[in-house]
Amino acid sequence: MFSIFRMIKGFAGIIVFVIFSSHGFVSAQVEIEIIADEGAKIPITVIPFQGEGDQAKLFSEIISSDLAKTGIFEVQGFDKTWSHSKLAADADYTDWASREVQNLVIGNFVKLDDGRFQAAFWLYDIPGQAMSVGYQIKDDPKQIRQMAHQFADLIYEKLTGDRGVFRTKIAYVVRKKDRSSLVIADSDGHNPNEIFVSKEPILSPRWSPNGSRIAFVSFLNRKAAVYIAPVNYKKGRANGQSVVVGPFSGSNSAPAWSPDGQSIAMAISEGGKSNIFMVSLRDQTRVQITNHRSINTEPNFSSDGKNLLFTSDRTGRPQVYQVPVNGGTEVRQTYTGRYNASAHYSHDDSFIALIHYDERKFNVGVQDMKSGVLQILTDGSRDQSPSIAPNGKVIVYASEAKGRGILRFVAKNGRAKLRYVGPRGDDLREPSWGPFIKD
Amino acid sequence: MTMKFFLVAGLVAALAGCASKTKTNADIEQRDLFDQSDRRSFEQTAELTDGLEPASETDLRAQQEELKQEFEREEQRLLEERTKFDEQNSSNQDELQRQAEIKRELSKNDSLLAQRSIFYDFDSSVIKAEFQPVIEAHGDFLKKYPSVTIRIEGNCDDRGSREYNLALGQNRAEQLKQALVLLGARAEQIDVASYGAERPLIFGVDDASRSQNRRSDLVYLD
Repeated sequence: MFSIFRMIKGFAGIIVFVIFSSHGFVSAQVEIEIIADEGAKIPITVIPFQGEGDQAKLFSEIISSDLAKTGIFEVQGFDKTWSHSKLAADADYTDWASREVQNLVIGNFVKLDDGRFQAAFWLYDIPGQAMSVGYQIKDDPKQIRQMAHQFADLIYEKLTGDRGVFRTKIAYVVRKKDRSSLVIADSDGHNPNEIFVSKEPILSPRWSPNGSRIAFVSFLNRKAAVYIAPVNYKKGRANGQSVVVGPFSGSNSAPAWSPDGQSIAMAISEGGKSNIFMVSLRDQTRVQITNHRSINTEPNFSSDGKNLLFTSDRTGRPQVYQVPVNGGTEVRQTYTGRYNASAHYSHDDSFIALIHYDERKFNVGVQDMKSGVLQILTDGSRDQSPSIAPNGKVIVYASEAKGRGILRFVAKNGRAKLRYVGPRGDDLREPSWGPFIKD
Repeated sequence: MTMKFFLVAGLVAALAGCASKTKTNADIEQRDLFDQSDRRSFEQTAELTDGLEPASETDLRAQQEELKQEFEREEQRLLEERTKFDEQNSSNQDELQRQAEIKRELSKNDSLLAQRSIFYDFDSSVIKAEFQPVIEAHGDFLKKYPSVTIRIEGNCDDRGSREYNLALGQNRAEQLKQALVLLGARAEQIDVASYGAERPLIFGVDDASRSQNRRSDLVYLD
C-alpha cells in the first residue's frame, strides 16, 4: 500500500473526461485518475472507425476510455494521417510496426436500410502479424455506446483473459435536499435513469443475480422496509412498480439475494437485537439464520450460495463473520482493527471487500480468504459501501469530495482510481455493481 | 291465630305422648280428630277469603306494588345516569385539565423535559451518566401520564456502514426505551424507530457536528 501512495506522487496521471448525459436530467462527470505502477501496461492503439458522422470518433473514444480506465492498458496516440482504409486481409503489418503500434484496433460502421447500425472491429497483433479478434454487430443506433462497450469487452477479454464489465450497470442512490432516488446507469456513468423516488432515505440497493430486479431499503411508516424494483437490465430502466417484502415487524433492512434469486437474506430487528433471516420470495416465509443478542446485519451470499458473510457487534465492535446458510458455526473473519463491516464476496469467493476503520478514517480494503491478509485500497476519510465488479477486478464505493457524496472506483490491484461525480447539489452514495449482461 | 292454635295442639299432643309411654288408641284417635277439625276450620277460612272482595284488592295492591317498583327502578336508573353524567363531566374536566397540564409541562422551556435528545459516543448505545436526569424526567412523566405516547428515533453520525448504523440507531432507541420502562413507563407508550445515518441534525463532517448527529430523539405524539 505504501508503495502505491508513493506512486500517486510520482507517476499519477490524471485524465479528466467530462461527459454530459444526452438525457439531460443528470449530467455526470467522470474523472479518471490512473496510477501507474511498476507493472507493464498493455499498449493499445484505437483508430477512429470508418463511417459517416460523429459516431466514427465516438466508437474509438468509448473503447479507448473503457480500456484506459482499467489501469491495465496504455492507450497510445495516433497520427491522423495514418491510413486505416486497408482492413483485414491487406493490413500492412510493417507499416504499423514502424509506427511502434503493438495492438491495433480498427473498425467501421454503416447505417442499414432498416435503420439499424452495423458496426465491426478488428484487433490486430502487429508484432505477431495476426488478427486476434474480428466482430460485427447490428443494433439500434441508440445502442451505439453499448456496441462500443461490447467491442471493448471483447478486446479486454482477448488481451487480459478476464471478462470485461464495460456493458454492466451500476445502481446508486442520489440524495438531493429532501429527495432520494434510486438510479441505474451504465458502469461508465452514462444513461442514468431514476427507477424509484422518495422523500424518505434510500439505501442498500442490491442487484438480483440475473439483473432483473433490485432490492433496496427505504422507509415505510418510519420503519426501514425492504423493497424490490423490477428492472430491464439491458435498457437500464424500471420495469414495473416496486413492492415491499413483508414487511415484518421492526426494522427490515440489508437485503442480499440468494444466488438462485428465490430468496432474500435480510436483517430484521426485534427488541434490542437485529438478526439475519432468509425470506422466501415465493411465500414470504422466513427462516432465522443468526440468533444473537447483538447487531447482526449486512448479509452477503457467497457465489456458491453456501455461506453468508455478515457484520456483528457481538464482541462490542462490528466485525465480519461467516456462517453456513444451512446452519453451522459462525466464524469471525476479521481481526485487524476494531471496526470492519459491509463485507462482500468476490465473484469467485477468493477475497472479500469491506470497510475498515483505523481510528482515523474509514477505507475500503480487500481481504484474501485463504491467507486472511487485509489490504487497504483507498485513502479517503469516509469511504463506504464497496461493491465488487462481476469480474472481481474493480471495486466501486461511496466517498466524498468537498462534503459531497461521490462514487469512486478502485482497481483491485490498486493500479487505477476513478472518480464519478454527480451534478452539482447531488449526493451520490450506495453504489451496487450489476451482473454480467446476458446476450 | 291458627298457627298459635296448632302450636298449642302440638304441645298438648307432645305432652300427652310424653306423659304416658303406653299410648292408648283412644288417645291417638282423639288427637287425630282434634287435628282434623282444626284443619277444616282453616280451610273454611281460606275459602271465605278467596271468594270475596279482598282478592281483587290484593290484585290491585300487587299492581300498585309493581308500578311502584317500576317507578323506583326508573328513578334509580335516572339517578345512576345522572351520577354517571356528572362523573363523566367531571372526568372530562379532569381529562381536559390533564391535557392542559401535559401541554404545559411539555412546553416548559427550562425543564429537563424540554431536552428531547440524548447523545452518544461513536459506535456506542450506552446512555451517558450526564443524560440520566433527562431520562428520569421523561420516565417520570410517562409514568404520571400513561395516556401519553412517544416515539424514540435513533440516529448515528455519517461514519461507517449505513446498514450497521441503521441497526445501531435501532439499538440506541431500544436501549433508551428499556431505560424509560425501568423508570415506570409502559412499553406500549413507546414506539422505536431508527434512521441510522440518514437524517443528520447537522450536515457537517467535523467532530462537533458528528457528535450532534449521534443521538436519540424523543418525539411526543399527539
